[in-house]
Amino acid sequence: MDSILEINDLTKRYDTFTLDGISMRLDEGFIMGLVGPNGAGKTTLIKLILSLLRKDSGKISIFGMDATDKEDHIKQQLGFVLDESSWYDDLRVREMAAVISPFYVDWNSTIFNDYLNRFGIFTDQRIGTLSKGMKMKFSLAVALSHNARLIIMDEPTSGLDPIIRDEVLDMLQEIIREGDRSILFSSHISSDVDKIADYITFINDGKIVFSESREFIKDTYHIIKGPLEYLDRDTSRFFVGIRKKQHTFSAITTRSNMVLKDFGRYLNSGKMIMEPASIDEIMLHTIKGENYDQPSV
Amino acid sequence: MISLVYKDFLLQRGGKSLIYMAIMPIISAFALSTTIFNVIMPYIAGSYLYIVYANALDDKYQTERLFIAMPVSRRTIVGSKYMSMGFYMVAFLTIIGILSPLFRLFIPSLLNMQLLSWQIIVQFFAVSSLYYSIYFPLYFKVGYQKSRWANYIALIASAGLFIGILQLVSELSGIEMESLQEALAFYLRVPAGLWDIIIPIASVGIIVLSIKLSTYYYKQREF
Repeated sequence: MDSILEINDLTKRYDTFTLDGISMRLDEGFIMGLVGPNGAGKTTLIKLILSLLRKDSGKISIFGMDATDKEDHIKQQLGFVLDESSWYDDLRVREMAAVISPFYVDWNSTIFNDYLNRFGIFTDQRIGTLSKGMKMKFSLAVALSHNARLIIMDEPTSGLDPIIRDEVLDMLQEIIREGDRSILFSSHISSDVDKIADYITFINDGKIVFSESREFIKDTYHIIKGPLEYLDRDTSRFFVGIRKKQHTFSAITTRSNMVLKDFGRYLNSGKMIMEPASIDEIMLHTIKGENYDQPSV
Repeated sequence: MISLVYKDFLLQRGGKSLIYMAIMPIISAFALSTTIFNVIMPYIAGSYLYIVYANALDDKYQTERLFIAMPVSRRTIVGSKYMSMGFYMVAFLTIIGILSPLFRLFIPSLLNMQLLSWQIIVQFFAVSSLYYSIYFPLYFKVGYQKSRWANYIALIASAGLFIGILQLVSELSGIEMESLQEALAFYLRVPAGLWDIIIPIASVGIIVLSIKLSTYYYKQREF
């Protein structure tokens, strides 16, 4: 399968933060969700892909080409939606399009106008009069009107009401159905990622925790809950990120077979529960939980 | 690049630079002064407003990120700002060029006043080159917010230098000092036509250096 985006050992250092050794791959025709808490490095990664930041080391390949060497060529087929609207509020939609379109060799005004009609955006409308959701759709119309093969979106659903959010997510799925496009989008709303992403990359503190298919994550990551008394140093070695309450604990495990073996009788009796973990649960336990070799709080 | 120049022009709708461009030459003409200050000064003021307004909106909406993420090279973005400067100058001069004969026709007192000449064009070009060549490299290095002070300085320096040199020559010629008068005489002996060639060439040189510096700085910038 053709790789649309491939990142190897990408590093970007700041005084107080380092995006450290990021490696991931997105194939043609798939959606990848980038999740992680605020400040984890999602936007930094997206900015590096878009050449808004300069990498310290590592390699970014897009459409099989080096992103630094073939920047202009790659960007002809790259669509993007940035976290904050970067459109001039004072300009009309058609004026903004007139400014942008000459830079794209494959710009198709008919497709652009079709999308505007579909989204209910008028060409004479000032961009400042568009709602956040409409601006997002306008960004999408721009991205789709120059035949972008890879669409990169930074928090596209952030700040949208649930109905518009759902609409946007449906739209992204529809875009992908056309076959040769791929989408990389960051979000801290894990349900959005859960809903449409084929692959999920979880970044925490500048490092990749995992970058796997949604099916793999659902099959592999389980949450286990039970009384605190069943948790000891021996058993907790199966867990990643243990969260303790007064009498209970919850933890994430990627070793469900071992857990079944050790806790089988408790699981069968219903004293403990093990089920596939949601993205939120994985994030929460990874970030807030303890590991077995760490001292208890 | 042209579309970025067009963008800077479109953004002026909310600003005052176009009003300056259209109205100030008329006001200047009605001031009935035969000096070119009345044409140059509104040009500098309008030029300042033109570029400040466009850059302020670029900063407000963070559109530099937008264009860099698009297939637009940083060199093109830099070049477009210098072209916007040229566009404003040409537009301003064109308006003066159109209005000048009309004024002469309808206002007899302006018969001897020449609002547009090669000398004036050269002076416009020199002032613009100096102003933007100081401001733009700093703007592209540190961004709009941090370079606002540089814009003021560039504005004052370019206007001040222009007025100052003329004033200085006039003042110095009144001082009775042999070596000074000899030096002045040397420069004054240079035919005026030669200055009209030297100044544009020097201005182009300054602009080329400034573009190179701006491009170098902008390529280092992160967003």
